Amino acid sequence: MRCRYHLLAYLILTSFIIAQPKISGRLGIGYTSPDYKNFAESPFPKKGAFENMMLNFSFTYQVYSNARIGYSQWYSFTSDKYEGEDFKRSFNYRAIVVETYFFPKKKLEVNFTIGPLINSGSISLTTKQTIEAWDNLMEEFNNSGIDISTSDEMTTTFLGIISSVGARYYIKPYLAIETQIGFMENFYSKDNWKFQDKDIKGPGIDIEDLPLFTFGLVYGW
Amino acid sequence: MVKFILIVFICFSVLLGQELQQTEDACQSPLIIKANKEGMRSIKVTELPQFVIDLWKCRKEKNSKKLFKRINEKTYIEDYKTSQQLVGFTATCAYCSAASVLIFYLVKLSGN
Repeated sequence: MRCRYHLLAYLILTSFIIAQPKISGRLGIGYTSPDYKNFAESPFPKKGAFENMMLNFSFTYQVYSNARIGYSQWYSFTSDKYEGEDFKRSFNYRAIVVETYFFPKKKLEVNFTIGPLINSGSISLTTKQTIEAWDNLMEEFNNSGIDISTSDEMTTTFLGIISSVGARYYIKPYLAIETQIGFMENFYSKDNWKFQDKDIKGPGIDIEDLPLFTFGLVYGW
Repeated sequence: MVKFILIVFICFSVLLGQELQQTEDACQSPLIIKANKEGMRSIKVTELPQFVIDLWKCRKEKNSKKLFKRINEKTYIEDYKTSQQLVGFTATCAYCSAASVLIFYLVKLSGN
C-alpha cells in the first residue's frame, strides 16, 4: 500500500517536472489610491503620491500550457516622525494567484490574474524616554542623562481578493516587461487591530476597493 | 627508458585529446541542437546550467549570433503556437478576471 502511495507521489512530481519546467519571477512597482481618512490627517504624516506607491514581487510556476500559479506580494511603506518620534506604517498585500494567458501575437502575451489575498498591516512607534529604575541604576555607575529607547507596534490581518488584466512583451525569451490594470477588494475593519495581544481600534482607512496599476520586469524560464 | 616512453605516450594522448576538443564545434552540443529544433522551453531546469555553459562556449564560434537569433525566434514561435488560445479551465479563469475588472471600473466610473 505504502509502495503505491510512493509511486503515485513520484508520478505526480515527475510529471510536473518533466511537463512544464517554466518558472518566472517578477519585480515591479504599483500605484494604488487608498483613502486614509483621519489616518492621513495631521498629526499623522502624509507623503503625497509616494504614499500610494507599492513595491511588488512575484514568483510563478507554469502548470499548464496557458496557466501559471504563484505567490505575489505588494508592499506599501511610510516612515516619518510623529510628535518627534520615529513612526512607521506598512501594509503587505499577499496573494496566491492563478494567472491564465494567451499570445495574440508573437512575443506579446495577454494575461488574466485572479486570487485570494491575505493582508497584514502594522503601525510602529519608537519612543525615547527616561525610566526611573534604569535611571537610578545608571546613576549607581555614575552615568546620567541616558534615554531608553522603546519600540512597539499595532498590527492587523485582513482578507481580500485581487484581479487584474495585463500585457507582457518579451524582449528576450527569458526577459519581458509587463503592465497590469486591476483591483484589490479588501475586507478591512478598523476594529480588528491588536496591540500587545489586546484588541484595539485602528485607523479608519478606505482600502475596501482599490484600483491597481502595476509595471514590472519579468525574468523567467 | 620504459618510464620515458610511458610519459611521452601519456603526453601525446593528452595533446591529441585537446586537439580533438578544439576542432569540435561547441555549437553542436545536444542541448543547443534540441533548443534550435524545439525552442528554449524544451530545455529542462535541471539541464539549464549545462545549456548556459554550452551557449557560453558557443558564443565565439562562427555564425553563433545567427544561431542564437534562430533559437530565440524558434522559442517565440513555439510559445505562440502552444499558447495561442485559451484552453479548458483557463478560459473560465480569464473571463472571471476580465469581467470582474470591467465591472469594478464601470462601478467606479459611474460613482458607485
